[in-house]
Order: sequence, then C-alpha cells, then structure tokens
Amino acid sequence: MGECHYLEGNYTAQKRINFLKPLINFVGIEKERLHAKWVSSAQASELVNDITNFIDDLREMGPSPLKSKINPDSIKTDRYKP
Amino acid sequence: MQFIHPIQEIVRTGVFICHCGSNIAGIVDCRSLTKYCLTLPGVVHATDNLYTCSEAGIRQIMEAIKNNDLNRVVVASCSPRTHQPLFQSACKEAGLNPYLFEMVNIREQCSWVHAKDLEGANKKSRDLVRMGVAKASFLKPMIEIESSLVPAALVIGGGVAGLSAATAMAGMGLRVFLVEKEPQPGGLLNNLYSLASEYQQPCVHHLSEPEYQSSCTLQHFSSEHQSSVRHYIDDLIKQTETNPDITVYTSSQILSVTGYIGNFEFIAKRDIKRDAVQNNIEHVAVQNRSQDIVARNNVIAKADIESYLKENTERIRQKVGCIIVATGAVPYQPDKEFGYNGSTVITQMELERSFLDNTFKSDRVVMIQCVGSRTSGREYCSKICCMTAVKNAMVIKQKKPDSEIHILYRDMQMYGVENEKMLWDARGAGIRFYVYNEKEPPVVENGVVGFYDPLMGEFKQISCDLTVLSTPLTPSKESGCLAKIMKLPVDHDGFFLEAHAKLRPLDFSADGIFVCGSARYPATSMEARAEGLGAASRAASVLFRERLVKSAIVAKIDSETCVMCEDCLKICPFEAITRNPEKMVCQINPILCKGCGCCAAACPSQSVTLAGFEHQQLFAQIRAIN
Amino acid sequence: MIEHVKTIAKQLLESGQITGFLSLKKEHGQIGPHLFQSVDQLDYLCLGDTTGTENRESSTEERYSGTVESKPEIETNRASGKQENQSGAGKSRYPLNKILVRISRNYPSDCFGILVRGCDERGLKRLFALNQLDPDKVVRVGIACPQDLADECECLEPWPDKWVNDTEKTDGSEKEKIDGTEKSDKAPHEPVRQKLPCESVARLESLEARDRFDWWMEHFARCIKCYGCRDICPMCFCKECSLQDDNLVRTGEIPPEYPVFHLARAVHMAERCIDCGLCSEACPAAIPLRTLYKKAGDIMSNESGVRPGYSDLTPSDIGNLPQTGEY
Ligand code: SF4
Ligand code: SF4
Ligand code: SF4
Ligand code: SF4
Ligand code: SF4
Ligand code: SF4
Repeated sequence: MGECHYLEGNYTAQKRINFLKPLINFVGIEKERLHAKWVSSAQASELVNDITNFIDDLREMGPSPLKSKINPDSIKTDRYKP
Repeated sequence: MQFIHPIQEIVRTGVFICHCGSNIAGIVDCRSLTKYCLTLPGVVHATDNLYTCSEAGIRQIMEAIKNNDLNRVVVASCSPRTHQPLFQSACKEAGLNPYLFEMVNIREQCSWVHAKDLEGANKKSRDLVRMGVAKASFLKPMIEIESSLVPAALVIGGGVAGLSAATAMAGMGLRVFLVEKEPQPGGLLNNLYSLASEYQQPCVHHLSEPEYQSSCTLQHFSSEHQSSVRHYIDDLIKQTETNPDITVYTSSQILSVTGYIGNFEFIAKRDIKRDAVQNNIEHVAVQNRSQDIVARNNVIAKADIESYLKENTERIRQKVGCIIVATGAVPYQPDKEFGYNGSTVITQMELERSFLDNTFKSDRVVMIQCVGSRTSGREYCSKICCMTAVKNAMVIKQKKPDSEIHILYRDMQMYGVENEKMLWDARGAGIRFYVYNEKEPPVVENGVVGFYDPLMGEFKQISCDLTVLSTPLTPSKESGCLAKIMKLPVDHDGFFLEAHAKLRPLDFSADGIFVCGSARYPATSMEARAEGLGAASRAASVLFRERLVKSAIVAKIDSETCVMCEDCLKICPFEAITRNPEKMVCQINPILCKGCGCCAAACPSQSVTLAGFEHQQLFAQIRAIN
Repeated sequence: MIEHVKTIAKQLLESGQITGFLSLKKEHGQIGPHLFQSVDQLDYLCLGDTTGTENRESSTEERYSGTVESKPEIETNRASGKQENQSGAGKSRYPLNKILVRISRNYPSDCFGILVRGCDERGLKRLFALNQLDPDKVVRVGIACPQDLADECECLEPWPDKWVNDTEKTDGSEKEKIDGTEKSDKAPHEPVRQKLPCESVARLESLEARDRFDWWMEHFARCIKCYGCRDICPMCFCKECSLQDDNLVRTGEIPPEYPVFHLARAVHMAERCIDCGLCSEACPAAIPLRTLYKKAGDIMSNESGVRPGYSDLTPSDIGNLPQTGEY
C-alpha cells in the first residue's frame, strides 16, 4: 500500500471497495463476492494463493443471484398497491 | 454479445495472433483463434505468425495495414508493458495513428497461467480478443502533447546540496536561480568545525590541488586543517557567486510556485535590509573568518533584524523549467531532555561551535546518542549523528590527549569503510563506548551521568564536566511551508518523499521537480553533494530537450456538463485539476495529468473522459465479456 | 411560528438584503413552492400543510411493508400534529434547495432567503461544499419539523442549526423575537437522535442475504425509469446524468437494468444524500429508495466518521472524505 504508481491510487481503490462491500451486501449480494487484495510484484505465491482461495469461496457460494434474473411478470404487483 | 458501432466511420480491424514460438501456440490453438477473430464484428483481416515482434512480424502488420486499408490494429501476444511501443511505432510507420492500436495479452493471461487447462485457456483467449476488438472499434486517433520549456532552473536552498546542484547546472551552461533564506549561503556547514569525511581522507582543502593524492594522507585532523570546512564551503560559495549564470537571492523565501514541468514560475520575497546588514558585517569580518561566524550568529539573533522583515522586501518573479528542492534540515534542539541547559549539557552542534570559538575547555566528556531520535514521535535514525560524535570525540582527543571521553549509544551507525575505521581508531585511542537501553535512558544530574549497562547488568555512574547530546537532523519548518506551497509530498517524519526510493530517488512524482540533500533524509556533506550533482543531472536531462513530448493519454473535462463539484479535483493525486470559478467548471492541465483515471471514475456525471480509456470504450469491452 | 417567519421574511425583503424569499405558498387551498419577491405576497406564505393531506411517506411504508396495523397510529399522529402545529411546520415538503440552485444559476449575483427544515439545511451545507451555492448569497430561515414527521422520516436531526422558536414569543425581547435565528438550547422534541441503524435499515439487515436480494429485486423490477427520484433530489444537480448514459444503463429497457440503475445512483448519493426522503415520496413505483441511501450514508459515516450534511464541511475538509463515484 502507498507504493502505487499513481501515488494514493490504491488507497482510493481501497476506500471504494470498503464502501461497495457493505452496499452490495445490503442489496443481498454476498459481500464475499467482491474481493480486493494488494500484493506487490514480489509476492507471486501470495497472489496465486489468494486467487485460488477466492475461487474456492465463489464455488462454495454458487452462482451469483444476479444470474437468475427475476421475471418481471412474476412480481405480485397487487401487494404494493396503496 | 452486443456491439455498438461508431457511426462516423466503418471500422476495419486487423487482428494479429502471435505464437510467441511455442509460448502461446503450445497451449492456445492460434489457428482456430484466428478463424474465430474473423467472425468478430469489424474484423476484416486476421492472421497468426510465429513472432509478431520479429522484423518479419512487424513488416506483416505494416503491409496488412496498407493492403487491407485497416484502421484498427489488435495484437494478441504478450505484455503491453514491453511490446506496445514497438507495435505502436509500426502502426505509425504504416501511416496509422498509434492510438488506434490495442493489445491483448494471451501469453501471461492465458497460455502461461492456464497451461494445465487447455480448454479454459482457449476460451479465455477468445474472450480477451473479443474484448480487445470491441474496445478497438471505439478507439480514437490522438496526437501527443507538446510543450515548450524554459532552459533555466530554480534551486531552493543554498547548503552543500543546493550549491553543488547550482554550480553543476551552471557548468553545463544553464541559467540558475538560487534562493536561500539566510543572508549567507552555506547552510549547516557554516556552523561546523570539521567533517567526519575529512578523517583519514585526502582533505577537501586539497581536493582541488593535483598533488593531493600523493601528499595528503593525514591520519588525523592536524591544526592546519581546522579551517578546511570553512575553506570547502567558501570555495563552493565563491564558485556560485562568481558564476555569471547563477543568480543568488539571499535572505529570500519562496512565496508561490505555479506552472508545470518546463514552465514553472516562482515568486520569492527578498529582505533587502537584512541582507544589507549582513553584508556590512561580511565586509568587516572579511579578514577574520572565524570571528565572522560568531559575529554573524550574534547579529542574526538580534530581534531588531526581524523587525526589518515587514518593510524593505523585494519581490522576485522568474520563469524556470525545473526546480530542485535542497532545503536541508535543522538539528533537533532538545528541551531540557537529559538535563539540557546549553552550558554543561549541550548538543553536538554547540560543541562544534565551541571548537570554532576556541572556548572548548572540558576534560571529561560524555556523549549520549539518539537523543530525540528513534523514539516514539521521531522514529527514524538520523544516520549522521554517530559519526559526528565519534569524529568530535577524536577532535577532543587530539586537542587534549588526556581527556576522558565516554560515548553512550544504542546502536552505532558507522556505515562505510572510512567510518568503520574511524570507530576502531576511536576505540584504540581510548574512547569508551557503552550501550544503553531505550527503556532505561541515562540520567544527567549535576555533572554525573547515570545509566544501566545491560551488557554488564549493572548501573554505572560517570562524572564529567560536559555532556554532549547527539540530536538528529529534523525537517525544517520552512520545508513544511514549501511542501504546502508547492504541493509536494512529505513522509510521516516531514522529509520530502521522492517518487520511488529505489527507482527514482531524486525525482518527485510531479515532473520537473527534484529533491536532494538533507531535505530528503539526513545526509552527510558528501552525500548531499552527490545528491546535488545527481539532481542537477536529472534536471539537465529535462532542460536540454527542445520540446517536451508527452503521451496523449490524459483526462479531459467536458465544460458543458461539469458543475464544479470538485469531486475530481479532490481525488487527483497529481494536482492536475484546477477550478475555473468564472465558468463554474473544473479544468485539467494536460501537462500535469498522468492519466491515472481516478477523476474519470469519480465524476458522477461522467464529465471526465480519459483519452484511450473512454467510458464508451471500456463499457464496450465489459459488455463483450458475455 | 408562521407569523415569525413572515416577520423575518418581511424584514429581509424590506432591508433589501435578499431579492426573494423562497418558501411555500398557499393559494386556493393548494400549496406549492414560491419565490416571494414583494412584501404584500407574504400573506400567502405557508410552512406546509397541516391539515392532513395524504402522507405519502407513510403510505410508502405501508405499501411495501404490506401491513395495515400502523395506520391508526399514523392517523392519531396526524391528528395530534394538526392540533399542536396549527401555525407550525407542516408535512408537505418540496425540494426548495433544488429550486434555489436553479434560480441562483440564472441570477448568480442575487442573494436569496430560503425556508429550511433540518434536511434542507443539510442539503444547503453539502451544496455549499460542492460549489453549487454561495453561502454568502443564501439567508436561511429555519423551522423545526413536528415529531411525527421526524418519526416517519426516521430523521436524525429534524431541525436546522437555528430555527424560529415558538417559546420566544412570550419571554424574548422584541429583537430576539424577530431575529429568530437564535439557536435554542432546547430541542423542539424528543428523542434528539434516532438510534442507528434506522429501523427500516435494521429490519432489512436481519433478513437472509438471499431474501434481501429478492426483496430488493422485486422493488427494483417495478421501476419505470421515470427519473423522478433524480429529478426531485436536491443533490442531483448534474447537468448530464450518468443514469441516462447508454453505456452504463442501456437505453430502451424497462425496468432499467437493475440493480445497476439503482446502485449507480446509490453510489452517487453516498457522498451527497442528506436523507430528505423526497426520492421515496416521488417514486411512483413506491421503491423504498431512501432506505437504500440511508444505508449508503451509514457506510460512509462508518468509514469516514462523517455523514453528508451533518457537519459543517468546507471544501478542504471533504478532501479527507472517502472518495466515491460510480461503478
Ligand atoms: S487522470 Fe489522474 S492525473 Fe489526470 S487529471 Fe484525472 S485524476 Fe488527475
Ligand atoms: S467531478 Fe465531474 S462534475 Fe464534478 S467538478 Fe469534476 S468534472 Fe466537474
Ligand atoms: S428528514 Fe423529515 S423530519 Fe428530518 S428535517 Fe427533513 S422533513 Fe423534517
Ligand atoms: S437521494 Fe433521496 S433522500 Fe437523498 S437527498 Fe436525494 S431525494 Fe433526498
Ligand atoms: S444520479 Fe448521479 S449523475 Fe444523475 S444527477 Fe444524480 S448525482 Fe448526477
Ligand atoms: S422514481 Fe422510482 S420508478 Fe422512477 S426512476 Fe426512480 S426508482 Fe425508478
């Protein structure tokens, strides 16, 4: 961290990730589906490990809820009438 | 999959798939990938070859551009880091704008990482090429940005580093402006009696004389060399002051710096009266240099000098192409720590002063290292205090061979062959070294220093008539102001932060500004000089160019839609964005912009576009994923 | 209270300090925003509806919660509100800030007065910080909201920094009375702060992730992409809106690509939403947008310790806020 080619670029990215995680969690997309890690060019094995773990986690969680889009016709509109 | 075609022209994309020997072709089926490419929208030509970056491969690209009237080129091969410029120049040579080129990495990202998954690697390479082609269709031709430059430099700070940089640049024929806040250049060296580097080396006094190599190999500081620091710094000052290409502004302070690499403009304030008073004293004292130092310090200390500050100032405004920051550092002044009182408990700096004034009288001296450094609040090692202490101990030994000298340290930082030798010689000369614990620091009371010696496991007491505290160099207040004025980054200790400690040690991340000497980190005079020369050559490498050319990948704000909310301005790491309150918009200076794209991501109304990574291009790429 | 507001407005207008006073006007039984430019018009000035028009916020609640039990309670609230606040602040709210931004873009050198509630003032502070309004060109006249409205809003601060105070009528000196900008020590009503997270947010958080997803998706799927939420939002002052960008949200699809459409807006609102609830009220599909933005605000205040509009932020301060943007 802090050694970004664009100075504070990676801090900015971190802030954004920190914000997005709880937000997507709030709309029901597991926050574990968004993952960010900072590795330097010298930490190859760490990167590999991290990605492998992330993929395993994703497998465990199954496909994203976004893949199963809701059919708008199936929505019971009457429930929401005033 | 959905593609939107730009309306203005018919996209004719050529795709080149590289085998990279067997690096790619061993895993990815390049033949079928090529066939697949031909099915992609806009692709009119696709071919694969053994090494696209070879001369034959490049020729193939150039011929294909001409024969097929291509207006987009996509190469699927290795890393754009290494090869993009080569392919871009091939496009340029064939008459195609180099920014209409897109590169896809199917070696590192497909064949190498997915070597064990043939099917996956092939699928991914198809995906990536498809994305690349999608982005390519939205690329726009761009031209590089050129700007003129002023072949002059500003050096801030007239210590060793600044003087060295100034003389070096003037020696190359550049115009130099040197701004020094004190009435006299010279920096900290003005207050020193001797330098550690003089020890056992051809002394600087003789550096300019050709015979020094044979004659001057003194083993210690002889009385003849006592004034060698003075001589050294005077020599540097003279070189600076007599050089017609250097303008020295003493008693001056930088007020503002605007502009960008090649075209900076600075405004400084010069205190004429203070300068005049000082120069009078110079005249009086010119015959006797050592008195001069005393006189100078006395005069400056006088409060009435400060009152001149308000009136009698002169404004200096100059244009320069590069700036070298050499503002140096100041020794930490203890506040009663370890019983500091300025008379029997003093700092190394004050010890040097007493050498200069010939007021040094003590026989039994204790020196305490790391006073105010390597503790909470100031965690760094000032790096020069250990050698200063040992050097001063040797000076005392030489003045008074019978004196007792004890040095209490936590770790000895005596890097380099010469310093190591000096340490061994000091031990040989009977100077005693004791280690102490940070947790149980020595206590100085009525001429007795008490401390716990962890090696012996016992408390010790040494009585002495002088205690000398080795305090670190700390960033000066002026450096802090300057950092704000020039928007330069400082580290958490307050020293200026270079762009990269190892790869770009003297550069700031803002182009055209360089740092050297103790402003960056405590440095010995030799290091400061070397850094000064280094910074000078970095600046010269910019200033000797005819024009500055920079990549066209910069951001731009649409002034029609921008509402000056400053989201982009706050986020830009390079201070490239300024506000224009008249038009109620923000603007980007293309020379300062490095194309990081933070602003483009931050703007809610997408008023910022990063050339080469426009929203349309990126979304086309993303939408092409599925 | 309304008389005080009128007196202050009159003074401001007569002294020439302001060109106009932006507030609500009641004419022929209808309430709407109005820029009062002459003193004689002030008779029509009104602080909102106190006689019980349909409360859209609460009906939004009902519509999505599907419960009817809360209704009687709200009735009583409304009734009591009516009694207590005969001359006090009513419930009908309008994006006065938004109108002010538009006016001052056209008349940048004029100074205007504006009637502010808690949320309006929070909005003003953000708008000052984001350079959309000049603090020197705005005179605020504050009013506090009735308790029942605050409860419905789940409002953390239903009053501005300074508000026209009823109690001063009796004991304050003449000057204080018309000044009306004194900060009263007393909060106009308890509780001072709602507990966090707000009930609406907490309720959703107690659900399983998948249920929460379905819940939101059902809501989002009803969106008719009318841009009503954006158009009414005082903080949406962009000249060109990302939500209309074909690249980000594909055009020609209803409902719009969700959740991209709503999340993109939520991200924009992270640094801006001052939690006024106008968006939820305006949404014809009764999507509880405010709850989403409340959560965004919670995250922001967790991350940075600052909630948009709740502290006086100067442009240099907000450099320390986490930066957000789309995607
Ligand atoms: S692209 Fe990066 S450097 Fe350029 S203006 Fe935007 S934020 Fe600043
Ligand atoms: S973020 Fe966008 S709207 Fe705001 S100032 Fe920057 S370009 Fe303008
Ligand atoms: S959010 Fe609701 S209660 Fe709070 S100030 Fe605004 S209108 Fe009043
Ligand atoms: S997003 Fe909704 S609650 Fe937030 S400021 Fe805009 S209208 Fe008000
Ligand atoms: S939704 Fe975003 S882009 Fe659109 S007007 Fe609001 S802040 Fe601006
Ligand atoms: S107001 Fe409601 S329906 Fe209209 S665009 Fe916003 S969320 Fe969709």
